Amino acid sequence: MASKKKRRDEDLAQEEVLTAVVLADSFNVRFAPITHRKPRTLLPLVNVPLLDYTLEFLCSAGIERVYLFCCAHAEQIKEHVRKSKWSTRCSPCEVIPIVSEDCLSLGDALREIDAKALIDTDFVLVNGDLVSNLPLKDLIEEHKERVQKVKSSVMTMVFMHAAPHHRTRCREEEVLVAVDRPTQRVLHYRKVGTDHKFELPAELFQEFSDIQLRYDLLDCHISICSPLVPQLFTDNFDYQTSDDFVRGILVSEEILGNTIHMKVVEEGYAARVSNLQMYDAVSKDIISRWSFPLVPDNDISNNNNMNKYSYGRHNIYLNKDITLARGCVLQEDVVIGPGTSIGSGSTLAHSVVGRNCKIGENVKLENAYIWDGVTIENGVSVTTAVIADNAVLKKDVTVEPGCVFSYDVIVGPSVKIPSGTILSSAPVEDDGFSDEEEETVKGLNPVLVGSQGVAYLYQPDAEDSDNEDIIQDMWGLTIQSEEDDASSVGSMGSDELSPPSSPPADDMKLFYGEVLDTLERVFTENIGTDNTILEINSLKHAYNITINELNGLVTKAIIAYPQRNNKDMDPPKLMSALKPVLAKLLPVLRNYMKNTECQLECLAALEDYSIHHPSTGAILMKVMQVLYNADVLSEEAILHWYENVPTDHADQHQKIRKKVETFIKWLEEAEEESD
Amino acid sequence: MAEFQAVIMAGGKGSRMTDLTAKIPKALLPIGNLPMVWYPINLLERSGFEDAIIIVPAYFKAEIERALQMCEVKLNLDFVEVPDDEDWGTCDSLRHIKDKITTDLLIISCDLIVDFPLNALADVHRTYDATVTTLMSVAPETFTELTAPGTKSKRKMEHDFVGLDEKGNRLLFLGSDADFEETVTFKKSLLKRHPCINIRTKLLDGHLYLMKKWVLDYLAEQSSLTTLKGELVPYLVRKQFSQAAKVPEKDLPNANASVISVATVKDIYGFAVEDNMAGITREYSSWNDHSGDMEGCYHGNKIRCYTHILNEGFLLRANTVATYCEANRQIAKLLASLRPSKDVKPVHPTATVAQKAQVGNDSLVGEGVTIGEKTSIKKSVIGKHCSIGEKVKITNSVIMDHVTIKEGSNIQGCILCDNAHINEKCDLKDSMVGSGQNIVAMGKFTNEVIVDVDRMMTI
Repeated sequence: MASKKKRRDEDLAQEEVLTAVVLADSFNVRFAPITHRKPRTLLPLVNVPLLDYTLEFLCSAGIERVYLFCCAHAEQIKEHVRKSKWSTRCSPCEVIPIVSEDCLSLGDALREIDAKALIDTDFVLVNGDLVSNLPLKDLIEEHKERVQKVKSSVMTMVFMHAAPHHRTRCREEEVLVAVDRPTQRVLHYRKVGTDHKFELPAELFQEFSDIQLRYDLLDCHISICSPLVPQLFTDNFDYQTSDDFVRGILVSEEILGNTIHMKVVEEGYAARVSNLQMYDAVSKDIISRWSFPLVPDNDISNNNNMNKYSYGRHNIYLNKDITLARGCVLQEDVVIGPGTSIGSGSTLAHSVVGRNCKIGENVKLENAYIWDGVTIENGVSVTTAVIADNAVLKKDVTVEPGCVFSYDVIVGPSVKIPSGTILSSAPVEDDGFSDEEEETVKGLNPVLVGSQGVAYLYQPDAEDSDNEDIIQDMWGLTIQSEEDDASSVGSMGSDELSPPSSPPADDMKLFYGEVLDTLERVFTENIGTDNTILEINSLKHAYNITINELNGLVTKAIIAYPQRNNKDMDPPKLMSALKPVLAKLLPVLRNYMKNTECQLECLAALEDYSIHHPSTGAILMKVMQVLYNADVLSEEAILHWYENVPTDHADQHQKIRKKVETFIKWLEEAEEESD
Repeated sequence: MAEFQAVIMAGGKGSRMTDLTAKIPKALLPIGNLPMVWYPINLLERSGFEDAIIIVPAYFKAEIERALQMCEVKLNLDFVEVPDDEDWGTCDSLRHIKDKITTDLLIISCDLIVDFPLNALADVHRTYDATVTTLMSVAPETFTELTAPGTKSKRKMEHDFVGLDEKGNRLLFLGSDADFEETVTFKKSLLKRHPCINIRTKLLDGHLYLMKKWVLDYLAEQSSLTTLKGELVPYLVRKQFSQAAKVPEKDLPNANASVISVATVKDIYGFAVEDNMAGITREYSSWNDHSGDMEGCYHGNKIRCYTHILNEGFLLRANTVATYCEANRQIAKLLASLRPSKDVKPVHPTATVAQKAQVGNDSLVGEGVTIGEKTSIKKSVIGKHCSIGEKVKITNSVIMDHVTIKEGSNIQGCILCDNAHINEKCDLKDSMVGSGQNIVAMGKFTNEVIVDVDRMMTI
């Protein structure tokens, strides 16, 4: 009996309609101004609208019902779906657009879904800009099995394995995930951002004995959610993004008892076109067939022959209906859409050209994404750029890396568009609720866009990119000058834990270098005494330097400063160089040399330095005199130093003392006189 | 010449088990009726070593020598004394024997019991040309709640945070949970090179190290380091990812001369010089220790720490009272595999066991022991020449040599030291009886330590 009932339950479970929710809106403006006219999901990626990749992926993975959540440009999306093959009667997959214009985030979308009670089974949540070929059915199966065992699991996040230097990683999307290795339960999830250090709660490690910390993951935003997820969004109306949700679940795990698990796929492909960098990377991945079967020669969008590509070696995809002039060179990774003609002497590499483009003679395209109906006249050179529909590049225009030209832009002739320029064909009109300052569009600038140019400089809304701490990479420019902090000390921040007895040699060296840098800035930026002291003090803490060491090192640094660029100055020159330095830094020294002991440190440092630098040795007496006159060094300290000769290398120390003999004599006499 | 020179660290005083080590050096505490130090010696013998240096406290040298002769040690042992009165750390001992060391080192502690030969560990060491390789094992669940006789509280596991790379060999991170207050910090630079870090907390550290010789040279210069586990190894682990102190030609003046007096002291990277051949070999080899970027092998790290984790097999350090008891409980099962040549019987042939007495297979009974009628012994080790009366029940206990237990007593989870005398009908539970102590009849003790009163004062 029981078994029968169970079997029936299983049957029922089997009959569940596999459902996916596709968010056809990105809720950000990474592709502005292009997305002002067309939603992101309909932008062409290798001549196929992005949404088609997502739907094709879901459909081929066996999803039977797709709720397509549209916000901005909903009509266009609906129209696109209506015309597509998913609306035909034989489509295996039902695509249901849901329009909600006032939706501003993923959270809103899921709350809407909950309100409409659309979903009562496990579902797949993806964005409409996803390109993937993962075996989704297996992943869903795995999720369901886990939910059977672990009732608390509400979501399985799918990650792709991608080492830190992977092409399809962008800094905006980098994540750090801590996961309990045996169960694959997500314990900690954070966006990496610009942080250089990550702090994880220690109790995590006390609770779980086998944690894996992963920085080699690409979050492809495929989440397999239980029906509870939309409800949770409704219950917590402050959840906006999926990050909020994940963080919320992890934080309130103890209270609500919900957990999130993850799955790392080693094989297969998944990536989101979340910004221009990813657009570039994913295009390349598609051209080099990582996303198979989602490749240009497989005609992803629809089944008409118009859009058939042939695939040749060096990853060159050509449509049937194109005109290639004799003498044009297609180097590698090139896709050329129907109706396009290319003139002789043109060279194309790593580029995509859309439908009905006219490319003239001696054009050079490298890493360029040319959409439909673009006209490129003779002698143009484009490197790493997106050029949207119907743009015109007149004769001899040069486009430097990282540019984006929106629809109908006309530039040229004979101009050079500087790197990172974003042009739109019309001044962006105010959309009602943004302030005028937010999006500034300068008027026509013939110097920039050429005498016949029709294009306006578009500046991304400053507020939007700053308020969330997202780093927007400049696409196409390798300005990732992220300094490699590995060269500095130590591993995972445990340096401060090192026993104080451990050899400090490196620290002192580093500290010394830093002090020198500080001094450099004192002179170049004219930093005041107080700030200098403050800076040195903070360095002291950073490098765990004792006050005694500090006195010596600061003294040395000051003495050494004038010689930093010129190692062999003759003594008089050195003295004249040192004088202004000393004058400026005397207050700093005075701050540190508070008692005799400190002064002895200072003297010892001076001595040590002089031993190794004869030219300094020669002016040592003068230096001491200056310091004495400025009350940095007291009489008794100097005399004490003079009388107590260190035992090792006594001869060298004696030599130094000989050099200052006259000064000492003078001091002693002065003392007697005052007595 | 041998690849490794073995050093057995038997100079410890057993500071975590002072009640037991009052009159006997830690190295000679009996485990399964064999002195503790026999186990590392046995391990070295099984792994094919022929010689070893053993560091012993000067005062007990003769005694240890004698005890080892009794248990047929084949290893050629070179006894090195360390002074008793001073507080010597493990690093101090190593500095002491520096002149005897000509090759890489294997350092083993006298309280380690491992039933696996060391080949796998050495393989890891060789594969990665490691600076230091350590041995760890997955702690069985039961170890988290071992109780020590004489204390009420459960033993708290000292958690080490061990960070390993993806393959589980490279030591990226080492710390104990005492080091971290609320958060543990990880640097991005490390994650970039090792994007998948496994952090394990319930690992047992065997305190067994394979070490490059240059580490010892470095140690000789750095007199401030005293312990291997606490200072040297964490220091090496940390230093893996630092670069040799830059000699910054451009921004420091006179970088070649000694600007800072300490600059004349060679830093650790000055010692970590590998021979030319190894570098060339690596350059010509297509082997790489990682994937995911285009950098060379080991990312150019000169210092590399690795660990080998035993997933099966037995590893235990008898360095606390609790683990010492556990070792004795487990040893009956292990002895057969530790010395296959000898036919180990649970009951020594010279022992007299009365007809109706029961001695479990999980127990060991030493030579010359007499056991009275209806006595039952389970999960316990009985030392030499003990006399156990009738109707005595002994479970989970360690009974050292020459102990007398009179009839009707019940001993449960206890340690009875040498010459202890338990009178009739005593009931001892989870307690420790010091050597030579006399427990009067009908005595009842739970969770207590019974030792000399004046010794109690000195603790």
